[in-house]
Amino acid sequence: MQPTSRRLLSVATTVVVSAGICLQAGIPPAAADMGAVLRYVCTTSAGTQEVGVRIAAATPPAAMVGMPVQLGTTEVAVDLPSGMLDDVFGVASAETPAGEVPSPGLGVEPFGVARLDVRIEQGERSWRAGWPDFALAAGAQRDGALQMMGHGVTPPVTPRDKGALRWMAGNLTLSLTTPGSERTSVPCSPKKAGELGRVEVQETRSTARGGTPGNTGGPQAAAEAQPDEPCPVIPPPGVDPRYAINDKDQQLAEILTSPPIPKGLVRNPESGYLDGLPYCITATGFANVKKLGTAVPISVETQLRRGVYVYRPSNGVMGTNRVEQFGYIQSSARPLEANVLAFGFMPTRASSEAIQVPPPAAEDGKPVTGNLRISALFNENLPPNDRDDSELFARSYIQLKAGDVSVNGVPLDVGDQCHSKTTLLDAYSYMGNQNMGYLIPSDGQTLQVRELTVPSFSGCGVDEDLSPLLTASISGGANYGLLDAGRWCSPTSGQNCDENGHGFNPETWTISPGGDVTATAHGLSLASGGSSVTCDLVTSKFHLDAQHWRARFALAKTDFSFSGCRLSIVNGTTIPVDLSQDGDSWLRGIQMASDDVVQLRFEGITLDASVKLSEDDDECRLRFGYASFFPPPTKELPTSINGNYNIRTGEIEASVSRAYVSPKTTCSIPGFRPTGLVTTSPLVFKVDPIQRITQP
Amino acid sequence: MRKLTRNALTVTAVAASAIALTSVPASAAGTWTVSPGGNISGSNTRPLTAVDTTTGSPVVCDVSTATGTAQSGSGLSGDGIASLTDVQFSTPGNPNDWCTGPVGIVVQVTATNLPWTFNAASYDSASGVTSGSLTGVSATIHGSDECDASITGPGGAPGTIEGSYTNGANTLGVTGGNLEVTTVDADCDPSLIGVGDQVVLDGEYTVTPGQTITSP
Repeated sequence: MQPTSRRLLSVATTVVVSAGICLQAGIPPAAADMGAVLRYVCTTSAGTQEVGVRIAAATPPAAMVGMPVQLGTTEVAVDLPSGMLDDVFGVASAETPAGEVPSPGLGVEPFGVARLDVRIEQGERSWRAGWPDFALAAGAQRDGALQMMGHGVTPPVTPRDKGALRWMAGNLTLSLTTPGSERTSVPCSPKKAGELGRVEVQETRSTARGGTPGNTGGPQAAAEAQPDEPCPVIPPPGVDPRYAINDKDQQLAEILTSPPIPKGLVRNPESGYLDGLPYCITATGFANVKKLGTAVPISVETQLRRGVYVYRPSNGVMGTNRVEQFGYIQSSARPLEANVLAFGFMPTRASSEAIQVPPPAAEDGKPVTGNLRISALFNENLPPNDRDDSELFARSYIQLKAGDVSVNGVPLDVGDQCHSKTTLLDAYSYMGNQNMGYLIPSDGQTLQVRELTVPSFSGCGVDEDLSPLLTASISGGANYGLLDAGRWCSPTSGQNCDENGHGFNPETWTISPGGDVTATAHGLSLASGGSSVTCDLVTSKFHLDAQHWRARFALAKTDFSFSGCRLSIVNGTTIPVDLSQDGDSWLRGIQMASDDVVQLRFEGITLDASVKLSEDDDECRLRFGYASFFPPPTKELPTSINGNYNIRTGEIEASVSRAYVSPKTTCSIPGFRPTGLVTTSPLVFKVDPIQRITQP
Repeated sequence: MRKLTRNALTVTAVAASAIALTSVPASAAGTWTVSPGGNISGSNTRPLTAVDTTTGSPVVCDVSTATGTAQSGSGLSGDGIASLTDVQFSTPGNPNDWCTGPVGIVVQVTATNLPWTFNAASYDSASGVTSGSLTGVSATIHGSDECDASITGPGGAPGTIEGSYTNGANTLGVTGGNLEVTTVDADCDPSLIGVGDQVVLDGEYTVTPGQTITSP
């Protein structure tokens, strides 16, 4: 299967294709409330003012370790003193009759946004709560003070320990305006630290037995991890029925059997499942919704179990050179905002996330996890004897949730239950072949979100049903996405994890100016046993797309040509030869070695020379590449050329990786024994035009 | 339970035996002549391959080097005729330059229980080939999937590799032996490596300076 062009990705969507969590925490009805009145000192251009802020939300009376704690709708009320209204809204506000909305000068209602920094504390641990901004609308004015109110749904919290879970208020930033005016940003600091509320967390039975809280949490646990908290470990098979391979849902199960399992592979274990290996992955990219025609950034964090069952060769040395690894995935949402033109003309700002949900027909809502499959070569040092392609498939079901919508600057209250119907998220990654080289799955890859249908929305709006509006502006088919995943973080060992225990962002590159590129080097030499093939000039031609944030793998297909080549035999004979590259070769990015130096690799190098040792001899072939020696007989494989590219000088200092005289060589040339090791000369390619490559 | 992993590394053993220069007595009671002897180094002429024959999992190292010493002179015993003090394995271009395992895993191979000792056993004067064994061989392996395993002889004792050195070509080929997987940790995928799995090697080294080994 050939890789799909990266031009697949074009435009973006307000729909963030991150698999998230079902928002229903399943906690008992609220029997206690969060309520706090806080005093803030706010700074405007005229000075400081004291502002009162009230926060209220229903809280569950108790919580369990590993189970998400979801507050009820959080109400925010900000009392702006009369002395502040002039600074913020620009005109002195006359006393407004009670019950009427004030009209500061322009005859229109003020509105704004409140951003409250809230931290969660439990024991000695503290982390950001990640509360969203609250859209504020003007309420009544009394005694000269203007009350502005808002409400929203705050992210649930999954406690990992027993004991008191406390919400602590920090700084407040108000962004206030009236229609047609510029926003006024008002920073505020609390007069003293304030606890908004607390919930007592108890142990579950499993954690009391010594289990790991993260492993006993529901699907919410994985996706609701706060940014400051390490990425959770989703449990292995058999621990929680919500985490498992789904072989019942037709769409999810399809990737388990398509493409078909190659012949000659055996299942391990024969029945049941292995624990597999847990990973956390951060992926970022862009998505498009056909109707909106705008690129929107998307960000996804995924937890997965890889290899809970595996199909591998019955004979790893002589058997089918394929391996199939199966596992399951659970993704976490990173709510993102997008600014788009709905219907092509309405400036709309919205935050949205995708929430991973069970399949529509799941009897008991289990499992919630999607399916994962990695299909690759078992031994890259043996030639493929079945398919050559290395691929990754992932499928899950999601609902798209919209919130914090504002149209033309006016908040549109879509409520906290505005979501689409369930739809299938189908992601695919092509990870290479012999000529492109192979990606190690845990090094990260580019994932295509294949045609995504955004279903109709429901539950949108508070006083009126806004669902048809969202459906009309977003829903439909032919939506795509392209994400780059960073190195897979191992949450159990910490390998490839950032300081917060999450996967690193992908190491993407930006290339300019792009275009058709020619790289030339002088003086290639392939020598063995006193004989050599030398060429005056080596030329590589390829086309680079000028792109931001592109993946490093498979940068360009390259054409190699060689001129001025001759065979010098140890007996003193010199014969001109035509040397050529056999098959496709690809240029691949490895990593940024420094600000100026980029590591590159030309993959798929197999050199072929047609030789006529004398007038009386038939033409024979002299070939060079890599070789696989075990098991015998020795087999030809492509080799590669590694290089360090200096973006300032435009030079690639390169050398051929291990090269051997190919066993497919038909010439009998002293010194060039088939399967013999070949010594190669270093090469310095000059790149024209010089390409600037930076990260990201 | 186990996780995805890689497999046994017998590459170290391959390298070790590849480097070992042995003078082999023509008979059990024969003596050996090594010239010039002294400090020796070796580099592989083809990839070192180790295969877990139980699971079929391979580990391939493109580059291996070793250093040691060989005895010099005549009337030498075949036992301990040479020793290896350092052995290294890598595949430049892989992450960390580690060797290539199955399923995209890369593997760090570390020779342990050095120095290893080469013992000459027999000599074929017609072909100039000395056959012998490298003893004291053991290694540890660490995979990019966090699997850690050890390779030794049976029961955890140091292992043995067989090899043959060719005068003139100055090459040492390695094969066979009694190496097996002795320990694995919880990160190791049992479908790739397990305790008791047998390991076979394949490799060839060029020895520098070239040695001439005969018996007597």
